[in-house]
Amino acid sequence: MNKESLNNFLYVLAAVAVIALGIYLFATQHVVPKNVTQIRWSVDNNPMRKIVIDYFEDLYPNIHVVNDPQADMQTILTQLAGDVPPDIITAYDIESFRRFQRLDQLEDLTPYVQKYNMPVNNIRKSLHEFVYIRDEKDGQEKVYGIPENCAPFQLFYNKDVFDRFGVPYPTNDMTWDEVLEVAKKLTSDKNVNGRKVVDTKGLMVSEDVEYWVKMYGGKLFSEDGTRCLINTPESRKGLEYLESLRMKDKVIPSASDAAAMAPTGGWGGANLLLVQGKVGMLQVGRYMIIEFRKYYPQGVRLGMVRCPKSPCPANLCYSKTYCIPKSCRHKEEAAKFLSIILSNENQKNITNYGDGWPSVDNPELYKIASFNPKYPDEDNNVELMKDIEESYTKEVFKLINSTDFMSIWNMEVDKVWLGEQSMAQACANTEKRVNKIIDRNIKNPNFLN
Amino acid sequence: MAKTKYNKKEILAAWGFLTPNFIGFLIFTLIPVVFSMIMAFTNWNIFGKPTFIGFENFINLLGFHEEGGKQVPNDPFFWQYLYNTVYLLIGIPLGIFSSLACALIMNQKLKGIVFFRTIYFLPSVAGGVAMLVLWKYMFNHEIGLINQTLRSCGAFLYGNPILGFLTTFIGMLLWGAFLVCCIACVVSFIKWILDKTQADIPEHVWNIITIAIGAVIFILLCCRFVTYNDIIKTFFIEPPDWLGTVAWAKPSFIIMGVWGGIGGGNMILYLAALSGVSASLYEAAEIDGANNWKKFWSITWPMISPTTFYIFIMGVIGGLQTGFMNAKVMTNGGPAGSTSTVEYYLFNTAFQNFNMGYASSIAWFLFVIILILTLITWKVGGQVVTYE
Repeated sequence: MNKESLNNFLYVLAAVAVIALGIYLFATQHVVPKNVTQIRWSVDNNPMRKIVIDYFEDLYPNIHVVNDPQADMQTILTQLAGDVPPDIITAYDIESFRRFQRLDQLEDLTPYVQKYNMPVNNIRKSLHEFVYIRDEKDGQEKVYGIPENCAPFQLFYNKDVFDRFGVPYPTNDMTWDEVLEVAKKLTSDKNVNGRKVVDTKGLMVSEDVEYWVKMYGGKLFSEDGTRCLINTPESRKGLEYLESLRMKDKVIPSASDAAAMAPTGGWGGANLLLVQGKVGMLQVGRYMIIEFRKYYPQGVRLGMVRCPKSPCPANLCYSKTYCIPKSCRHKEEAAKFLSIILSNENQKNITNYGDGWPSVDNPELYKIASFNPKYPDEDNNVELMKDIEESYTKEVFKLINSTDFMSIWNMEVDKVWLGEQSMAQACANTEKRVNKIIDRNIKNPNFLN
Repeated sequence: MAKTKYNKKEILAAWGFLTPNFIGFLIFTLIPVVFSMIMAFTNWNIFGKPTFIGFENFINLLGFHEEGGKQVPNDPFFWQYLYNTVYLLIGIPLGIFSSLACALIMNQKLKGIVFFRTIYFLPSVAGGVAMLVLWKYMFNHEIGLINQTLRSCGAFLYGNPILGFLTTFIGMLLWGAFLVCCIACVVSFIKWILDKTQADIPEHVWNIITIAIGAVIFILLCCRFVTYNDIIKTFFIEPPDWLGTVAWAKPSFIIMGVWGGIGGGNMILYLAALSGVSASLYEAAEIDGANNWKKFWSITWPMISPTTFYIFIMGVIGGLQTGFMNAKVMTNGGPAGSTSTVEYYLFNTAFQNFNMGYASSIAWFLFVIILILTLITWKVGGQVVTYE
């Protein structure tokens, strides 16, 4: 190597060293003080999380909580596999919660519950699926998750749309058929260059297959998970009701209609369609109220009633539960954090903020949740809270991956929306295809994860 | 052969410069590739230890079993998604011809041509998710730019009976011309290959075959005028739900891909290739009285064939490995799985189901398909490509 090459090599080396030093200095400028332990909480970045963190850090100033909003299943599982998990993980549904436990990734929280006096016994009964899992090794029921809130479906409605069409507001005791009649009155088209184009749709519903399957008392799977039951008369009837709402009565928008109606020009969630008066009623979980409250100052007038009780009195309940991974490096600190989740103060914050209903049931919280003077239009909370105890959590997929089931269902139901087959055919095809996969998975468990 | 001697310092310097790259290649390419090959023979959900299961993943992926007297695939998803992936490869020849046409136009010595070249290259710069979201908006059934334009045209053209008749007639002619062009291309391609392989078939035979096929198509089209009138009229008056129907979702992706490919890297490659064609060849052809088409067919096309060959091979390799981003951003693989590709399935298997062994077997099967197709293209292409 001649002198010039050596010089060049050294220059490059020096440049690399300077860049590395810069990165190091930049990365370490927010160093946590030595007496403070930092824990990572993997959860969505709802502003409510900051309220919880601030409250916790006031109680435990030597623990700093960082919200890592990359809380999706894929990211968390990868982090768990890489042995660098967050200290607290969030399972947004029963399926994820059970999956973490089935993979032997969750810490048994029972000892911490006793140590920090977590009032798990006060958690609402309808949320117990988010708390306890029976350990297959010793048959004991153990605490693996601490649910923070719950959010059954409710029917939000836009008062301006109802006033515009001169239709009375919906009530708590309506059946689905009565809701349908109201929705028909709110559905209208407009004329654009001689073409009929959707102007307002009366209703927008959740297309969660399980909700409609359970509408007439059906089930997705048998108890042991070996058979799909989506094609039983009960399951089919509920799904056919959904089909008629969209295909026969045309009171709910298709995906294409929804995109065309969106005020933001092609996209925007169902909540935007409701606040902009493009949809009269919207069936969605209680958690959506956080979004809706942002529009109150703009003059948006919303009301809410219970999800129709007939034909099925039960309602689907969403929640999320916080867990500590087995490989967590700060278990004690994470447990301290979980100990405040069920505390009265935190549950009050959740109630006031509107992040669903509190997961703990006590008279003081009930009173706060019943009426919030800051939002006088939300005057139906007492009725809405009745849904909490009458709601159910989703089924656990035992012998088929949920993604495989959803792939099949989405394919079959797409054909229904395209008019290529009836819902009854979709149910029959789905049941047949899912059962085949279940049989295959029983024979070759390596398909199942 | 004389042995080249390097001094120790030179060898050391060579290793010094090569090592960082080699370490990167080792850690981020070679080891994962070898690891995935091993994984393809195991069942592994990223937790715990992988279990060796031999060829079971491949049997599950590619095997068939009897059911009700019929042979059905063990994994029906895979075959549907493979079909979708192959269908989307139709975009490759369309993209090649469009980018060549674009390059030929951009190769003209016109005032401000650099500006136009920049404009046509822009889609490649502004690619990615933003472009997909924009296309999703454009394809919207009700408010999308494409359907709005088609409807406006439809209202104008079919508002008047004479204009409506003319539109259908021109549409039918264009459609017929397109079919004839496609057939002519196929016939020319076969002829070209046979020419290269010294098969002796007279020129007029080819011309007769092409004209005969063209005539049959036109007669068939004329017999179906009323049907075509309905189809073309419907296309303008009530345009398709591009991304919402099984029939149009894949063609929509192809249209989008062709648009993205027209002025991109392929155009640049063709421009470079065109500038490399010696002007003396054209001068000699002009002296011989060749017209523009003859010059293109006999000089330009053969001279740029190495570039076409390269673009085609890279297109096939890339085409079999893509589809994830489009499906994820625009359709979620729907409707009815019609836009899910093998790559999208691979992602879901690996990172949604965490079935790493099975995902690795999909990846290796995809590799084998790409290898075989590349070898075939190489073998055929090697005979038909003209090198100076």
